[in-house]
Amino acid sequence: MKDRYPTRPFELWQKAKELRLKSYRDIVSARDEGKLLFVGQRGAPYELLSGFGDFKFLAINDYAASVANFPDLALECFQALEGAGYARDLCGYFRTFSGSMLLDKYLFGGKFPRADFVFTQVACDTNGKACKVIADHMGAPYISVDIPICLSDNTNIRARCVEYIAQQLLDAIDCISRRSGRGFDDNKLIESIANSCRSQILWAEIMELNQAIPATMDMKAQFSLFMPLILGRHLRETVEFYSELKAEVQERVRQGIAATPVEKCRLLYDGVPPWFSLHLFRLPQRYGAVYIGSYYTMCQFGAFAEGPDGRYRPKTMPEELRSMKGREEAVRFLARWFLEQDTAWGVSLKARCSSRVHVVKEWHINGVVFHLNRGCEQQSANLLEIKQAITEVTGIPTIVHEGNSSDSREFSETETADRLESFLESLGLIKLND
Amino acid sequence: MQDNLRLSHKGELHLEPDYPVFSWQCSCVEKVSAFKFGCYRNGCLSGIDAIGSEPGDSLRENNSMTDISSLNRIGTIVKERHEYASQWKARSGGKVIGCFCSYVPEEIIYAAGMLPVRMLGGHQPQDVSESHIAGMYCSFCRDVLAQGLLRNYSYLDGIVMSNSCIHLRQAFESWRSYIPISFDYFIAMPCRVAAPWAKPLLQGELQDFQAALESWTGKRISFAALARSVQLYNTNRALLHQVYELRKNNGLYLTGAEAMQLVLSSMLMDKAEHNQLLEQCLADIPKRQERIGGIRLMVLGSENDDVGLIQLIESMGGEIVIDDLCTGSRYFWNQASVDGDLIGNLAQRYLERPPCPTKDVEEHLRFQHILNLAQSYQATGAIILLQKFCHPHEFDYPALARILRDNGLPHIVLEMDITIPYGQFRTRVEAFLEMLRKDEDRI
Repeated sequence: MKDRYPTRPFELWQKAKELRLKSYRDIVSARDEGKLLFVGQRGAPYELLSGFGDFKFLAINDYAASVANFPDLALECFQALEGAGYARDLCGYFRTFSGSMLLDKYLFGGKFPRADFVFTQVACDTNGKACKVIADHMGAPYISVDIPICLSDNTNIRARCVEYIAQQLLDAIDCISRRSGRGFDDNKLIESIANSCRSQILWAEIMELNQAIPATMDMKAQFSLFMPLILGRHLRETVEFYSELKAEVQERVRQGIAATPVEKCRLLYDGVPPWFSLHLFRLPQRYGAVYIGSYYTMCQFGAFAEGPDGRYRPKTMPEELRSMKGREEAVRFLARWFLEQDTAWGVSLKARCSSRVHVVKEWHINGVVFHLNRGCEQQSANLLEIKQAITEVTGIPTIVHEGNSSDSREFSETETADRLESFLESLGLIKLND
Repeated sequence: MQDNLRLSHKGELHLEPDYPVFSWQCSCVEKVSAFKFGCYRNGCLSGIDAIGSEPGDSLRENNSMTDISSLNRIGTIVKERHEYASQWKARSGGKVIGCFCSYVPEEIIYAAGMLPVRMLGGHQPQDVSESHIAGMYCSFCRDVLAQGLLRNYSYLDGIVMSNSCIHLRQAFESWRSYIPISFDYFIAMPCRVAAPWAKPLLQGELQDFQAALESWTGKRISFAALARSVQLYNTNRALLHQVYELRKNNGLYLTGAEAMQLVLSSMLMDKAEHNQLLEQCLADIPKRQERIGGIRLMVLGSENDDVGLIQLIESMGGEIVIDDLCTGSRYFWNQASVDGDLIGNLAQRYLERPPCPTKDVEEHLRFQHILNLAQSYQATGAIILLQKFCHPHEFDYPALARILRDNGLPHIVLEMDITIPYGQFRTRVEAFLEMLRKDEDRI
C-alpha cells in the first residue's frame, strides 16, 4: 500500500451531468414533441414502453433525490403534502415528488409536468400506493405491475411468478395502446431490453473494477456517474456512455489512479444517502478512508450474480436475447430478469445478507456504515439484522446512523459526522494533516 | 377510597385512566411501568372496571346487558389464548401454526389436523424487538416479534405468512431466523388481487403450500378433509355474519367489544369448537334485554386487536356497530365455494375478500365497501385506528377522509402504538361523540 496515490477527475463526469440535465429538460417538452410521458418508480420495467416509440420517463425516486438537494424547496414540498393530510413518516421520495407536484413547481423550471400515464412496479408497500396518489392528482391512467414477493433466493424463480408479471406487461401494452392510440413495435421492445441488460451489466463490470486497490471511483462519484443508467437504462446512448466509462475506469486502474490520494481503509455504505448532505461522504478522506461504494449504487443498479466459483460476478449477456422474437418472449424474459436481480425486492433476508457478505469480502471492505433511513422502509427493512450478520460472518466493524434520505428535518449532520469520526478512529485511523 | 381508585377483576387497586399516574400491578401485566394507566392486556382493561367486577361489567351494567356464559368463555379465551392453544395441543396431539396475516389460508392448515392461530401482539412495553426491527416500523410487527422473543408462543410448531406488508414481513423473517421453529412458509400472495392473472399465481402458491405441509407432516391432506375444513370455515363465517347482523339495527343485543372478541376468538380457536360456542352465543344473546345503544360508530384502519380500546369508546357512549378491520369483518366477510377445485376456490376467496390497503393498489376498491358497511349498519361516525407507521393505511387516509366527508360520515383518527394512551384517547373520543350528538340534535 502506497502512502499517496495519484488522482484525477473523471473525463466523463461532465457528460454524465449533461445527460442528466438534458433528460430532465426533455421531460418538460416531451408532450409538445408528441412523445408519451410516463411517471413511475425507477424500478418499473419501463423497457416495455420503448415499443411505443420515443418516450420520456420521469422517475419519482430520482427526481425526488434531486429536489432533496435543495432542502428549502424540499421543505416546501413536505409542508404541501402534510397539508394535504399525508403522514410525515411516509416514503421520503414520495413526499418530495408529490409535494413538488402539489406545488406545481418543477425543479428544472416551469410547472410540474403532467404525465400521459403513471406506470410503476408494485414491489414495496409504497410503490403502488404512492403512484395511485400521483395518478389521481394528475388525472392520468394508472398501470401497475405487481412483482410477487417470494422471500426466497433469486436462483429458484417460480414459473408462475414470471407468468404473472408477463401477463401484466402484455395487458399494459394493450391498455397503453388503446388509450394512446399508438401501435407497438416488438423489435423496439427487444432492442430496449437488450440495451437495458447491457447497461446494467456494464455498470456491474465498472463496479467490479473498483475491487482494485486503490479504488478508482468513490461513492460520491458513483452518485453522478450512475445517473444515465437511472434515467435511461434502455437507451443505446446509455450503453455507449458506460462502454466509454468502462474503458476509462480500466485505464485508471491500469495506471493506479485513485479516487482519493490516501487509501488506508475501504468503507462500504449501505442505504440511500441523505441527498442533501452528500459532502459528508468526503469526510472519511480526512482520515485516509474511502467509500468504495454502497450496496445501493453497486448492486441495486448493476447486474450481479454469484458465479460458479462462488464469487460475486457481473452477469453475462443472456444468450436468448440474440434469438428473441415477438413480445410474448420478450415480456417473459423481462419478467425473469427482474426476478433474478440479486437485489430484487422479494429476496429473503438470508439472500440479502449473503450478497452483502460477498461485497464485503470481494471488495476488501474494512468497515460498513448503515443508514437507517426513515425515508425508505424498503431499504431499511431488516437492516439491523443484516448488520449483525455481516459482523458475525466477516468480523468487520459496522455502525448505523439514523436519518432520512429526503427530509433534512430528520437528519442531524453534526451528530452523524461525530459518529462517523468516532467510528473511523475506532478503526485505528487518525486525521491526516492538511 | 379516592373517587378515582378502582379494584380490577384481579382484586388489585387501580387508578382510573384519566389519571396518568401510578397503578398497582395487575397479574396480567408482566412488567410494571410507573406511568401505566392500568392493565391494557386484551380484554382485561382493569383500569376502567367497576369495583369487584369482571372486565367490561361496568359497561354491561350501564347498558343493561346481562351476563352470558358463552360470551364470557369467548372473552376468557381471547385473554388466555396461549393457554388455550397449549391445552388444545396437549389434548389433540396436533400441531399449532402461527399465522402472520389474515391472508393465510387457514383452511388448508386446519385440514392437515393443525390449529392455525393468528399472531397478535401483547400490548405491553417491551425492549426485545428493538435490535431486530427498527422503531420506524409499525408497532404491531414489533409487538408480534416481541411475543416470539419473549417465548410467549413457545408452543408453536410452525409459522406461515401470506405476503401483506413489509412491516410484518420483517417480523416473519426475524422469527424464522432467530426463534427456533420446525416449519416456516411464505406464500407469495399477489397485491393486484383484482387482476385476472392473480388467481393462477395464488392457486399455485396454495398448492405448493399444501404440498409443503404434507411433506412436513408426512401425511396427505385428502380432498375430503379439505372439503370438511372449508365447510367448517364457511359455517364459522356464516355464524359471524349472523352475529354482526345483530348489530344492524337499533335495539342492540351485543356490544362492539363483544363482537370483536367473537371474531378474535375465531382466529385463535379450533373452528369446530368455536362454531359450537357461536351457536350458543347466538341462542343466548337475543334473550338479553334489548337496549338503545349509544352513537353508532364504525371502526376501521390498521390491525387492532385491543378489545380494551373498543370498550373505552363504548364506555363513553359510542356504540361500535361495524368495522373494516382484518381482526374484524374482513376476516370472515366472504365465503369459499365448496364445489369443484377447492384450492382454486380458496384462492378466489382470498382474492375477493374485502382488501387490506396493500392489496388495493389501483382502484381503492375498499372505499365503496366501507361506505356500504357504514350505510347498512347505520353508522353516524367513524373512528380510524392507525398503527403508527402503518404506511399502506396512511397512504389511503387522505382519500378515504375525503370520501367519508363527502358521504356525510364524520371521523377521527386515533394513532395507536404498542400501548395506548387511554387518557388522551378518552378526551378525543369524548369530544368526537359530543360533536356527533350536537349533529344529531340539529337533525
